[in-house]
Amino acid sequence: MIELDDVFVLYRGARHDVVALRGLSLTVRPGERVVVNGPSGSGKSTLVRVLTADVEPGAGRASVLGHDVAGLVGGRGVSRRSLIGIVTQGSGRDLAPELTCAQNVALQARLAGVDRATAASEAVGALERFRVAHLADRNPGTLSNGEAQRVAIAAALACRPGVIVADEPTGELDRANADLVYDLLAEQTTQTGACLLLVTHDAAANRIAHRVITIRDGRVSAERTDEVDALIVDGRGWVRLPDADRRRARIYDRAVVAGDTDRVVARDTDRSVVLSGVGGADPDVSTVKGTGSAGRSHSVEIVRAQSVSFTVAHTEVLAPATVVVRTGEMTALVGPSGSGKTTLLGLLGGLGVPTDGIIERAADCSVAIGTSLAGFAEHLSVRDNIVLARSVRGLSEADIMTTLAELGIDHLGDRPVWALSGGERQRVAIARAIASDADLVLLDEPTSQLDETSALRVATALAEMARAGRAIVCTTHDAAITQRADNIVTLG
Amino acid sequence: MSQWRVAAEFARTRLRARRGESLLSMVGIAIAVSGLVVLLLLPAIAGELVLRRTLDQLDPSERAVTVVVAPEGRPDPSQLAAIDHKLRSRFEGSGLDALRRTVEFRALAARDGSVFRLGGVESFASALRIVEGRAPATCSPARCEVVSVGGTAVRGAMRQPTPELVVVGRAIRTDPVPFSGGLAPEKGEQLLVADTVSGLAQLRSLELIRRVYAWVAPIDAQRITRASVKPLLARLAAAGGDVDLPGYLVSAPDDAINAALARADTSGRRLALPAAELFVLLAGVVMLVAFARRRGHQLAIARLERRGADSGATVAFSLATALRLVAFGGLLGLATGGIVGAVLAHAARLSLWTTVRRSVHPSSVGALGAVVVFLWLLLGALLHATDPIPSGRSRKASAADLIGVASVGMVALLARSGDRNGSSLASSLDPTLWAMPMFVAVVVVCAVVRVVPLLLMAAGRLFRGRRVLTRVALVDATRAPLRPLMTAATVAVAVAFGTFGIGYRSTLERGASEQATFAVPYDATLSVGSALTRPNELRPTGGWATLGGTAGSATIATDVLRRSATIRRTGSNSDIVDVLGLDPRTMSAMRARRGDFGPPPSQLARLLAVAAPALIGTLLPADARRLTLEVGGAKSGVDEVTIAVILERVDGTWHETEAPWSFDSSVASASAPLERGDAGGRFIGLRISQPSETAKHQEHHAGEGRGTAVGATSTTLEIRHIRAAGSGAPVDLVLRADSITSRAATVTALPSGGVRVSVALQGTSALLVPRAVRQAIPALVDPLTASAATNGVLVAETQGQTFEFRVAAVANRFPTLGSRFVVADGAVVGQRFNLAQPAYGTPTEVWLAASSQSGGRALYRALRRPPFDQLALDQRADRLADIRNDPLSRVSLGVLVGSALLAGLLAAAALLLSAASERSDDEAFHRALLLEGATPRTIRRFVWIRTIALAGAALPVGLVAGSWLVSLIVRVVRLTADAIAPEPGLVLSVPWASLVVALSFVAILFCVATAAGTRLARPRAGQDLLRGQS
Repeated sequence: MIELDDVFVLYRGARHDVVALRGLSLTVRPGERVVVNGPSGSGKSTLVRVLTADVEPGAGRASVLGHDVAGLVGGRGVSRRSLIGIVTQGSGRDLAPELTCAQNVALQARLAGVDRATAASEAVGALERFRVAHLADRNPGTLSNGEAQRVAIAAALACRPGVIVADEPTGELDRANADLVYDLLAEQTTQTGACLLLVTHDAAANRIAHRVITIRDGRVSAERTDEVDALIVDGRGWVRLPDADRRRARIYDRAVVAGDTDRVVARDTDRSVVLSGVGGADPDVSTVKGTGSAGRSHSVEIVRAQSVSFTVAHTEVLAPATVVVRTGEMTALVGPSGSGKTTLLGLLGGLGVPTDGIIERAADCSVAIGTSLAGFAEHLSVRDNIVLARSVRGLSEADIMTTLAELGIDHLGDRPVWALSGGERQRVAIARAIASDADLVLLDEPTSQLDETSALRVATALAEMARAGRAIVCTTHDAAITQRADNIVTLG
Repeated sequence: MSQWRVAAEFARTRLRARRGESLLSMVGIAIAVSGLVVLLLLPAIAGELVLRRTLDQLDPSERAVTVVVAPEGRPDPSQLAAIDHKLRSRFEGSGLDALRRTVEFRALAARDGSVFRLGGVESFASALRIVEGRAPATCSPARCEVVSVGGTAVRGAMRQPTPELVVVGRAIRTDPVPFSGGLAPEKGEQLLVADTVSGLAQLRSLELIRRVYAWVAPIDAQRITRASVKPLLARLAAAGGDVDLPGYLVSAPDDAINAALARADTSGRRLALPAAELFVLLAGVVMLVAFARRRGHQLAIARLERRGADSGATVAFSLATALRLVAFGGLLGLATGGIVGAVLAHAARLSLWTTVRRSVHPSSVGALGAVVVFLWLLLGALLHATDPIPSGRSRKASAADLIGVASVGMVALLARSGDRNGSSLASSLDPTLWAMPMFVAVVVVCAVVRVVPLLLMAAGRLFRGRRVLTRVALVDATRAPLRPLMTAATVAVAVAFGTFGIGYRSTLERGASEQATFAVPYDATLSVGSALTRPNELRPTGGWATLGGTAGSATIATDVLRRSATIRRTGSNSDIVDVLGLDPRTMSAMRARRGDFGPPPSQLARLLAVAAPALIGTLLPADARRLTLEVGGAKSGVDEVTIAVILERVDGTWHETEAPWSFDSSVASASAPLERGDAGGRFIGLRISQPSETAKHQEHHAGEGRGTAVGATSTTLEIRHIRAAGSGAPVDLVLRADSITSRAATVTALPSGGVRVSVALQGTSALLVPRAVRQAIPALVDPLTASAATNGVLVAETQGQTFEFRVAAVANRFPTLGSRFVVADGAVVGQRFNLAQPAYGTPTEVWLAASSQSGGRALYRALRRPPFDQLALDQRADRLADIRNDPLSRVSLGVLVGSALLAGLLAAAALLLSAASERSDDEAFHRALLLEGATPRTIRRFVWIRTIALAGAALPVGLVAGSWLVSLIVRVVRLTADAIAPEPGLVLSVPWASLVVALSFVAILFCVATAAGTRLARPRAGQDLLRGQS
């Protein structure tokens, strides 16, 4: 059981403090499956960190299975954590690279006092349950993202924890694998009576949820149960209007309480409040539909990959594929997890030589690659990181605020990178790639950690850039990208 | 418990999977541990070496245990047997060679009047080798066969000394110990040795002759060890009370051995200083290892926690990781140190096991164990802890500032808590020695935390608006200061200790040189040796300047007069000062020139210069053989006194020659033959004394308290003529009443020429010499002595007379002299002293200096040849070589160099580790740079610049701290390289030129190590992407 009551979390920095949670209250009962979504930076990941005792609430109370989280933080005496199964987007990275997959799965049982043989046997069973038994003796470093994620989930849930906390567990998985993960999580909660808190942007997760809640600005703002949507009013009377409703009511930067037309009713059980907008401009985001290269005067072939394949240690990670990238176009590489999308992206970027096939790149073609693997100078600001990246390319300092504004992160310019949320980091990584002025921009799952609105904004910005003459290639599972792509290349 | 086991297994698996990283960490630990192990073994090795050297340097006759019994009359044989039994059981198994009994009779007169010595020895064959005739075969109470040892006479030709002694052969000694020392025959005496002790002792003809029995056992310097020498010393002490007989005496070089052992102990305790340095560096390396591994370790802890590990398990994981690194690194260091120790022990002809056994004490094992546990816990804690240290950019006072200030206070407290010298270190380990470098290291760390970020920020500002990557490399290090600052701190501490090592070594080396030059200010000093020959008696015909002269080189020489005098400080207190007379003009040849001594030699030469003293007395004809005094007056009183003439030899030295009386009918005359060197010299004056028998009688009478009147002599002598007779006609010498002075006599002129002398003697004598000039002699004095001067004039008293010195210069020290001294022109001082007491102003030493190096070598060669072997020769080069070759010196200086090298190596290892871990920890960021188009070389340069910038910023801090530490240690620890009190005191000597060269090498080493570190961990630019791992 999870209980959070009026929880506040503040990240302190040398110059900037970031309020991540502002009075969040939430209860998840045993056996209940709750899906949490919300825009990036809304506090979802912080919520997970509170529950996993990585962060101590500044105020309020949070408890897991009756244990106050505050008592678990920092002390590392988290034996009760064995009752929490933790799955994150990068759970594959939580696997100890020094151990085999089976040893990783067995680790928790062994720490719980189970003898070596029994733990190994249980580990094999868990791997089988998650359909990855064939990976038992493999080293995590040799797995693809999807494989590593499933092994990590098996490792997290092998001991049948009482609480499962999952943070974007399918962010980098294809649809089929994502659905499999959801099914496994649901199956696990049903079998063990564990409660599940699943943080995701993926609407497909809603099908396993008993309740879907939305977090905005560090508070639970809405809840959907049994097809009924409700705004949440917290103990202080704060109500967070959904963006769509706000726009519809033309409530932009001021509102008055009035009974009039063009009104939005936030309904509580027994009373209602009428709000209406009184002015301001609609910062609506234009939507751009990909139109292909037709009609574009400067569409030039910049890279051609002809029947390229790639093999690592006798394993073919990319089957022969052909893709042509032109300036003025956005190309989406889609396909199931493990189909070789990221590998193809790397080959297009010149990070390696294909095992087979040919890649032809325009002679003066400059390339920028945006990936979650690329880190930052954590103590530098967003702006300084981008300036640094440009300087590496020998480019002078330029007005990068426009690029940040296009991605909706211009307000983060002076913030140190360490203080950013996962979604914000992802957008900064995209901004860095774009700010490089490269002819060819290669992005790996650019919207995997973004909420719907942010993903839409990023996808739109990328499409605009393509129209402006850049060649953009993205690996993605996100419809927001594919809908705006000029070319879609399907692998696998 | 099971969680702990799993955590420990996980730690083992992780370390195995990261062999390279683990090995690097272990090597860092191993380097420092090996240094500590070597330091632990060195005192034992050095102690053995110094013991051996001390014994080797002893005269063979002194390198033995000798027990002597000199009974009154012939002792009872059973009594001797009891003594023999007691001594043999006392020294059995003591490591000495077998006790050999000897007997020796006092000097005996042969029938022909010659003097010979007689002795008997057990184990004859091992002590003597027959070179002619045969060995003695029989010895009965009536007749005993002997051999002649070392004599020139051969059998047959030799006179048989007595009928009972029959010389049957000639032998030479193969063992220098028997019949040596006080038992050794004097020059010209023959030594006869029998092959028996008891037989010789029973010889009837010698029944009443006193004899000395001796039990002698040589000490084998090659066999004796520190372990065996202590029981031996204890047995020696016990043996002193074994026998209650008159003339029972135990002698051994125990003082020399004890002094050597004390020196070795002192020197060994001094090694606590480099040991503390190494410990600090070891701690620094361990901290860097921790910081290098922290990120990966924290990830592993997070993984464990995700799997339900409790705090105990994660702590166990950290401790297990730390234990493996420390244990394996320690074992590696132990092995390396053991190998180095074995090599050193082998060089000292010791086995490693013996060395280890002698080095390992419960305290040292405990200390080593404590170090290991401390390092283990430190590494474990640092790996486990999550709190970073605060940024050094804060302007507010931080905990580091407070700790730094407190440490400075502690250092100041230690520095003011008194000197550490041989006596204070001989018995116990002084905490200052290990605490001082530790506190200085803490100060360095705190200074680095405060200073290095400022330097990096300032450097970063230089690149504002350009070379962004370089600016980021510099500035970003200050924003996440944990590892960069610890890297800089380790480098700074290492540089500080390296600077200390070089500086202290240089100081000790300079100290050794200054000790030598202080003791022998020129190149060599000749003084009166055991033959009691004065140096000037052997002056070469052409003078000292010709000695060892080579082309383009001359020898500078000065006669040196060394006496003592008293200076009245207050009405009732006097101080004894050394009075040194020498030729100021030769002072420029003095090698000992130190600014803190006082004015430089050239200035001293000017200040002390005084006109050469006027010649006094009357010139003796070159062919003069005898001086004769004609004395008239009351003849009855003449024979109650003795008269001696005072002469100045040609070489300027004075002496007295007694002139015995002879009488004829009317005139008494006293005539003295002239000695060699007198002819051509000067007649100075006369001494009138009581005959020695009268003086003794008077002294005895006074001693019994019967007054002093008895034996007093009053008489008047009319000395009419003093004539020098030679091959030609006698020459009258002038003795004028108005030019001579005497305190115990009244001198008046005789109308007919000559003088009338009235004396009243009572155990004294009357000296009739020319009057001395009263002008004060310009002198160099020490400050305390100078303070006793009145109007710049100092009155010194010696030989019952006062002498005035004018303080011309003040100096703190002067070579060969103690803290209280008066230095003046030797010729003037010599003449004044001679006038007070003839021959008291005779130079006792000659200082010689060659003007060139080749001349110096030639001088050394010349001085080693006869006839100068009759003199005591002290050569500066020998002294220096002796100090430098002392095992303790070599160990001390070697340890300082070794610790400096180790410090440099550890600093390089720290940089390598830092660069490698930065590449590993910041892999994601570096990958981003690579994806942006940066080349691997650019990334390496990025890391290199940051790491080298840290080292560069740390260098000045380390240099300043090292200089500070060496100045503190020089001020506090009053010990030379060979562990004795420095004379003169040590003066800080930082060899800046050598330091610059060393730093250049260190800088290159740092650059190379950092470059290597940047290559150790290579970010996988695109491999992860290509493998589909994003």
